[in-house]
Amino acid sequence: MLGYQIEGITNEQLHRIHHASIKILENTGIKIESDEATEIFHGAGSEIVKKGDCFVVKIPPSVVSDCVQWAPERFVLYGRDPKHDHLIEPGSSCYTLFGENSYTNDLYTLKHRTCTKKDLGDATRLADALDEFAIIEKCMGSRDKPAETQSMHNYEAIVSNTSKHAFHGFFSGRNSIKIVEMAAACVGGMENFIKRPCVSTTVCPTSPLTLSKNCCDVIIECSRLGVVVCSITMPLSGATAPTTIAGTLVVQNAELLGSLVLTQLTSKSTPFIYGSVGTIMDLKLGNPAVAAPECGVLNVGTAKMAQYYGIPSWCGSGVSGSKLMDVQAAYEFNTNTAIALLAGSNVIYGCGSIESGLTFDFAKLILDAEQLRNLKWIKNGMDISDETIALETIQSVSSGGEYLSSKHTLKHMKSMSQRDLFDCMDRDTWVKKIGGKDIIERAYEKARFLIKNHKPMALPEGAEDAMEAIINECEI
Amino acid sequence: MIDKSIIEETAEVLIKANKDRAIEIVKNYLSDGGSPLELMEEGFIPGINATGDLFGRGRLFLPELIQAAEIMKVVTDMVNETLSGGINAKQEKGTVLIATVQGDVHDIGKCIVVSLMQANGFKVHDAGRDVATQQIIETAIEIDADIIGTSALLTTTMPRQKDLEVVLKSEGLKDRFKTVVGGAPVTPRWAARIGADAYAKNAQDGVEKIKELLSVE
Repeated sequence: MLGYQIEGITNEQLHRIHHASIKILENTGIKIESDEATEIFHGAGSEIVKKGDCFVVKIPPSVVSDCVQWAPERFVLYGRDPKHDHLIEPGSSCYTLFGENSYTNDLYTLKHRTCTKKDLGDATRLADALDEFAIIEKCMGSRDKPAETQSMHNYEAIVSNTSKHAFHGFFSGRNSIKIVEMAAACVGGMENFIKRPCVSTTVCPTSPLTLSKNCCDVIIECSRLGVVVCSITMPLSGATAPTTIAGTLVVQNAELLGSLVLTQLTSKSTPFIYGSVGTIMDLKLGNPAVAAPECGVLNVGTAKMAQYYGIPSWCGSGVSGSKLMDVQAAYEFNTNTAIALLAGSNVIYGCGSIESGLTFDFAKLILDAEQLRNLKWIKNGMDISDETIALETIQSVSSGGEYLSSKHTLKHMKSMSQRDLFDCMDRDTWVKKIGGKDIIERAYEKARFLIKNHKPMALPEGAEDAMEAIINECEI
Repeated sequence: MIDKSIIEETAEVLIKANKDRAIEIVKNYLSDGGSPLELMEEGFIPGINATGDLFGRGRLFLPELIQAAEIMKVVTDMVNETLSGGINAKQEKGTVLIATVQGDVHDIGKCIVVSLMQANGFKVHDAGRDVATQQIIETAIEIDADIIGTSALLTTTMPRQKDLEVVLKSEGLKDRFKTVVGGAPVTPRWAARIGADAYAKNAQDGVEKIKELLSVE
């Protein structure tokens, strides 16, 4: 069942965006800051033009259309535990955390501070415990670890606390190889990893129209290793992309097609995800307005373009600009997440994050998860059949009766939505049962409880030592 | 004595980004025998300051500020050409070298800082993005910078700001340049910890901090 859907863009309009991006790729080109990647594009018939220290590649339309054809429409994101395998395919949707937070509100003192490897582990454990998150994304950086090996530490913190499929930025070509070695150690060896890769990378094109060296290196290594590549671009309308949303969509589409082409030219049929966290720049402040309504409209464009190409989409939405867990954070999360979901985005990421993606908050993750259940319920829409129309039951209860004791109610009541922390008690019960506590306070309590008591699937024997050895070797 | 209507119009052409009219004003004023220094000091300089102020108060959009800075540059060049003996109509308040640190390719924030500083009368050298520490220092010496401003958007590249402080100290250059750090994950605490002279939370704040460091208005 596809449920409710936003259409909003016609096929003809999608063609127009596509053709504009194709013109950009063919005539303007994209800047490639890696010699190896330039060689790969050149080998497939792209024209290369020197620009400063690197090259601009001009990609022929036929290369783009071949590569789009080769990229798979559906694939499995494997968990360490097969029960967490998630099939990504047209019509599927799932949620995950937001990736680049640098700070957290301490789980116990609530003090705003720099985040650490332990915080990343705790947040991952919490997301492992919450069924709403089918896959995990790195939500904070291990800022207590060295920059060069931080992505390896991040992976160690993640894989030790979840058996779900994990996404995170591998940072460099070298780290890509090392993280795959670490992941292999956690699934009983490289042979098993190749059959069921349990980690995927995210990479970020730099708007406008640039693929940095690290971005190219990670794409190339991961495509060779059979790792899913999720390219997430972040055009800012008015600053790194045109002020208009259609223009922004053209720029981001060119960047994403450019990274898609690199994955497919490196290794045909590499699973690729078409991602964006684009939004506008507030041109009075000079800051990204992460939860602007334009973000919602752009996300519809992102999801629809990906559907047009037959590849999975990934939309950044739900991050709030608010510094606090407050009404703004809730409104902003809800508006754009609902739109991305209704547009049919396959992965929606943004949970747990405030301060424009700089601060992770544990209570926010708990409350986001509860609201996601509601949104998913709405998206599923209404089933209309003889059984759900319930004509016989209505006739038998007739006027003035009640439905509480009817068989039909007993049969269907468990499919009704359920509330956990969201409150609809009467005032007296609210005071007696939960002491009239604010929902945010209760969310922190739940987070503390789950982090303390949830036991993620243990790593196989020797995996921890193997990961430590790999990291140590890179830190000498 | 410069006409009051000209003073008012200089501010207006900057705010409304009317470059053609700005050029016309300069030409007319100079051909009427007006003093170029007076035109700058009483007209365009207060005008550009007002523009920066309006932006700071959220009344003006960033692209309007950028246009105003560009017009200001054209006007300054025109006035300078008419002056003999290398006297500059607009004495620069100081020279700022600005760069995004090595490993970091994000520079849109830095571009805003460059525009705003130019609008405020600083000479700005933009060294670009992904710039190595040694390169930053060499350029600062070459252009005789007063200020080195670095930006880092990633927590993994923030340590390069610290490296800059370490190298400046070890090479005995710490007193020669004042350093300002910025970027989304950067905090005042980080600036204090690494020994930077100032932390700038945004472009406007950066201008204020630089004015303080150089004791200029």
